[in-house]
Amino acid sequence: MSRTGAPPSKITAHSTSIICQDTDLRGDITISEGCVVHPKATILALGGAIVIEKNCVIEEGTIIVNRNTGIMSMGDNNHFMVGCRVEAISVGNWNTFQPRSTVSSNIIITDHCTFSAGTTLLPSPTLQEGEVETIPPYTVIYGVNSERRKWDGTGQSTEQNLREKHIEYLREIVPK
Amino acid sequence: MGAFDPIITYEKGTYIETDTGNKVSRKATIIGATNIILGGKSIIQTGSILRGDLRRSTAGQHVVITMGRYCLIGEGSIVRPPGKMYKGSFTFYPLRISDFVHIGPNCIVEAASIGSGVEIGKNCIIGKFVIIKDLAVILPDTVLPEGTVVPSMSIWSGNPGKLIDTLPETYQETMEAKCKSYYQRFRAA
Repeated sequence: MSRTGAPPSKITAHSTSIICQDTDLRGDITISEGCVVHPKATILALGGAIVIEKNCVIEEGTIIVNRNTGIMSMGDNNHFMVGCRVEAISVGNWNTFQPRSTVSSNIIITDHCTFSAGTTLLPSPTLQEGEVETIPPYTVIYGVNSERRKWDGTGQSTEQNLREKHIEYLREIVPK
Repeated sequence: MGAFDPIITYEKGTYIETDTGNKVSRKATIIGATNIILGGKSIIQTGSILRGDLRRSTAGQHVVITMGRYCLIGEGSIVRPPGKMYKGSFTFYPLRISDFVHIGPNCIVEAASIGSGVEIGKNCIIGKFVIIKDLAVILPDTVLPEGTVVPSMSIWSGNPGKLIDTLPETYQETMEAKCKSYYQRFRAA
């Protein structure tokens, strides 16, 4: 199987972000302030660049891939839990990707969405070739069939508070 | 558990064997090993990840992950302690795994405690702060949401996990024999 050479790695990381050893980062990646990348995370900017905004948490086993030529931007305060796989074109703020969730490409994710454990998000079957589906804010993808429903936002400020405290704590104790 | 069960081999040198009989793969990722206690005769297979670095916020030495005897952590599984807010501050809680626990390949385990004799199938996702009591069976591909309590001697499956069956009282002997037999059959080629 022929393989084109790996893109030259150009990683720009803010000084307050923490990237553990043993991560696999390839291509043009920008990591903003406050982010925490756990060991064994994989970020591949194969096609285009990936920009990760501030205070994101990327846990073990996550795979963030950009095969399109455009820039893939991840918003702030997202939490990519263990084993998730994200190929979406762009991701908003305050989203949660629970363990082993999968988001395919052709999708734009807005803010405050939750992708439950083990779910797979594909665009709706009526989508035309080359079109992109936008997931509205406050959507929850859940269950074995990856259904969608809307979250009424209860507990949002507790969640946000938890997330902020979580990331502060991680920055202190994670091995650099 | 018969005398003719196949032996499971690994290439010599790929596993480290400690004096207490633990067999740890060299390709397993163990972070924060000083905070992890393994009971004797446990097996940690290739590709698994144990996060011993996510410890409590209080100062001093803390055990993050405790495991019992004859445990098995399957290939590619990720075992990490759960964390939450407590009295205004975020901290991680220790994960206690008892004896005779088999965790299948590719699982993600963030439970608070796992009782003895538990068998977790492959590709399971055990959410945060789940409590699994003794001798439960979690079938493959189950997703247990956060905070689930799995009672003893029950069988769970599905996404989200639900109780589907119970086990007979003789199951304890069955599971202990199975774990001991696995350990004895797991040896260098």
